[in-house]
Amino acid sequence: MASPILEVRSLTKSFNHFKAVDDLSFAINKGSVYGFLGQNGAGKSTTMRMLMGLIFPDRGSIFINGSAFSNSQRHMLRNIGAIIERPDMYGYLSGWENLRIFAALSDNNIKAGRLHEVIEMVGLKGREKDKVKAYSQGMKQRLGIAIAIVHEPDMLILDEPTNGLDPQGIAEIRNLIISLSKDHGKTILVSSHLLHEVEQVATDIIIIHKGRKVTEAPAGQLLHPDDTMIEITLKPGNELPALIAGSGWAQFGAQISNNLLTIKMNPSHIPQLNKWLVEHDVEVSGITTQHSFEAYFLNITNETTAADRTV
Amino acid sequence: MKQLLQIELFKIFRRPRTYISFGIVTAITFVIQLAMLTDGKSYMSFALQGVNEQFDIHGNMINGYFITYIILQTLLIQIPLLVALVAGDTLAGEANLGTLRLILTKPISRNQLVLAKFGSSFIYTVLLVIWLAIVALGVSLLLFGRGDMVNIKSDTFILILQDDVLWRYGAAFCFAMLAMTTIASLSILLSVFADNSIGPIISTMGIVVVLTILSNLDLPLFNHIKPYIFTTHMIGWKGFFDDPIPYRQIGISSLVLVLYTVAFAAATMLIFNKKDIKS
Amino acid sequence: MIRRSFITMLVILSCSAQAFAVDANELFNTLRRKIFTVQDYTAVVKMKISVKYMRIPQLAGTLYFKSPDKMRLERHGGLSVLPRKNINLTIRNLIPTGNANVIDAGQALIGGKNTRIIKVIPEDEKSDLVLSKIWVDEATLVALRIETSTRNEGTITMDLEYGKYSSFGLPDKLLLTLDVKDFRMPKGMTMDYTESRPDEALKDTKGKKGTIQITYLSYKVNTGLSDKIFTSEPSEP
Repeated sequence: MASPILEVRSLTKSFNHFKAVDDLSFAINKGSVYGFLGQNGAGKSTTMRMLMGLIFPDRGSIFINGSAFSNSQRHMLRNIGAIIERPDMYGYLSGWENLRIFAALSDNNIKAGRLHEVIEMVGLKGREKDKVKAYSQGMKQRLGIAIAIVHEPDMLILDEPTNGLDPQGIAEIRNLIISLSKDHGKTILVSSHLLHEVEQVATDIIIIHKGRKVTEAPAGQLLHPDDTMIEITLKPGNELPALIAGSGWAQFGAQISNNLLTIKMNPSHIPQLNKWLVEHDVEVSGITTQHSFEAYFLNITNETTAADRTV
Repeated sequence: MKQLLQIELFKIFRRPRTYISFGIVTAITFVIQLAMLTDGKSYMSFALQGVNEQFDIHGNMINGYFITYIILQTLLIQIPLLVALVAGDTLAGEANLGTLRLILTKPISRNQLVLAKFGSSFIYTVLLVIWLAIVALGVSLLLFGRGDMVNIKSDTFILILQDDVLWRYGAAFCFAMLAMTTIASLSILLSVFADNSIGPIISTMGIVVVLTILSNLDLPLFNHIKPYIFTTHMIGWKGFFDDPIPYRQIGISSLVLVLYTVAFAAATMLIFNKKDIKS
Repeated sequence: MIRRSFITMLVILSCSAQAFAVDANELFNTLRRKIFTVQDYTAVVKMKISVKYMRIPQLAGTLYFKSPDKMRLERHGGLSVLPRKNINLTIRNLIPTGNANVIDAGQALIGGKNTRIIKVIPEDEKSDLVLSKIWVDEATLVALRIETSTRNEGTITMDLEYGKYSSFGLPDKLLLTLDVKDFRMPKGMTMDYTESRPDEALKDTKGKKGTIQITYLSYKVNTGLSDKIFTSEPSEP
């Protein structure tokens, strides 16, 4: 079996007495899109900085294509493109000049044709000669991605690439990531604290909390439709709790609190439930589906936090 | 490495700030030239009070060579600031901008990056000194003409024949390049510790000013440490206008400056190679 | 052979005796007349100034002189450095111009030449010159050494060597030894790099003596120099 494109073993890093990353291990296989999830301050950026040699781990190892990576082996980064946090660039230079500079840092032999290609790919054609200081946040992100992919690395490490973007910008970056994965075969590690974004692009998900890995699984397994949490706002009805308890919906863990019915089930059952409520004279004023993953995530992180409190 | 150096130079010389230094050098030079044009004679008569009691000195004393010396002496404090303005920004400025993070995600070694920063700062320093030579020496010679050069030390009046001056300026400017390279080296070292360029620029100036004062204080306490302070040796360019030229002392000064430069560079690499980039 | 030598010696001795017989006052006046026949000269010179606080290389140029006291060194754009007026580089400034008392002070050998020493004291009490001691080579009627005490400039000694211009009393070589004062500027203003080393040429001179050595390569005498030559460049204040 081929070795993972990227693997970390027991990665640990503390700042002063704060443990930012704690005994973190995971492996990323070629061709997958890894969602790296965690709340702000969970240790995602620190981990990614260690992967790129920006920060040195206190303990643990990083392997790129099976070989140990260290500060003296920085040439191994040739096969990785990355944006860590904001894609900050030289504002006094044009997008084109920034791209040219960072392309040259990755590979001396990148031709102008390739630069045009990536400018077009990230949708900056026509604006590449403008000074970067005149770019919007979204344009900077796209230029950042152009810089990350210009030397055609096999793997991309993208740290919160949609941070600070408007919904349209978020959608554009999301589509770009999907395209890079599907059309260009890139392996991608993308971090976010916005769960619904990751679930739309990731094939695998790693969740970390307080520097520790909480779970790691294929996205399909974490995000099963049966685990969708559905919230239904009802008009007051005294009989309803008893009614529900005696019905078949009870098997989905239906609970009522303050006229809010919560139930974990496949969203395909919603029309059926709605019909049942109407038949029992319960008026519905609203239905929302909260992704189970979100609940799952909150659940896990809350559990970890609670466990910390009790310790 | 060549590519890295080209990139660093491209960044330096595409930035407006870089040209401010050249502008400041030009402005200070012109101000001194103007002052000497209007008030040079009284300056000279003050300086030559003691000599004039016994000797009549005729001729174009306030010539281009003399003015250049005055300019160089005055710029001793300003030029380090201008060097620090760019060298102090090399790492700290990139950290502040956030570009250091992006650069270091690229497959280049940190040592290479530091060396490229040194190389580009050195070239900037050399160009700044060459520019100084052009505006100070070139323009002064155009405005004030040639002539024998008068150099006044605290206890000696030195006259250098006009045909014997130019090579001394060549040597003096080369020495100034070395001295300023030491400043650049110090600035880059200080730049490693900071995440914005103001810190290293001000720290460089602070160190230069304090050490220059120590170098010039005539107190027995400081006389023992003076030979080990690099600012004592930064005025070694003046040696080329002495008679006889203290080649041995200039050699020692050059060596001290080279050692400081190398030590600063080595320390920069050592620290930068262990530094976590958190900016 | 012996007889011939004896005659030669006799001739020399009789000449010396005759010379010695010349009155010191007359000798001084004759010498002064000879010196004062030079109204002006233009000389190609090489000059070396050795003063404790000065480091000046040998200066080559044209030295213009016009009586009584105008002097200028022209160095084709270079600087002219000359002692101030009352320590001028001519003999005539070191000997009294008016009435003077002349005293015979004996004989001495200067550079292997027999000289007569005369002391000259100006009658004018306001004169800056207090006393001039002149070593005169009576054979050629030139002064080989003059030692002059002044009121303001201390003692100035001038040693002279003559060649083809001795008929004008103009030397080929002149060494002026004079008292110099100290020169000091605040170190904070000059920011010296190294301490100064005294001039090698001065290591034997005691105290605050300085020397100016001039070699005259050629003279043009009494050509009627214009005053303009001396005023074309104003002196520094």
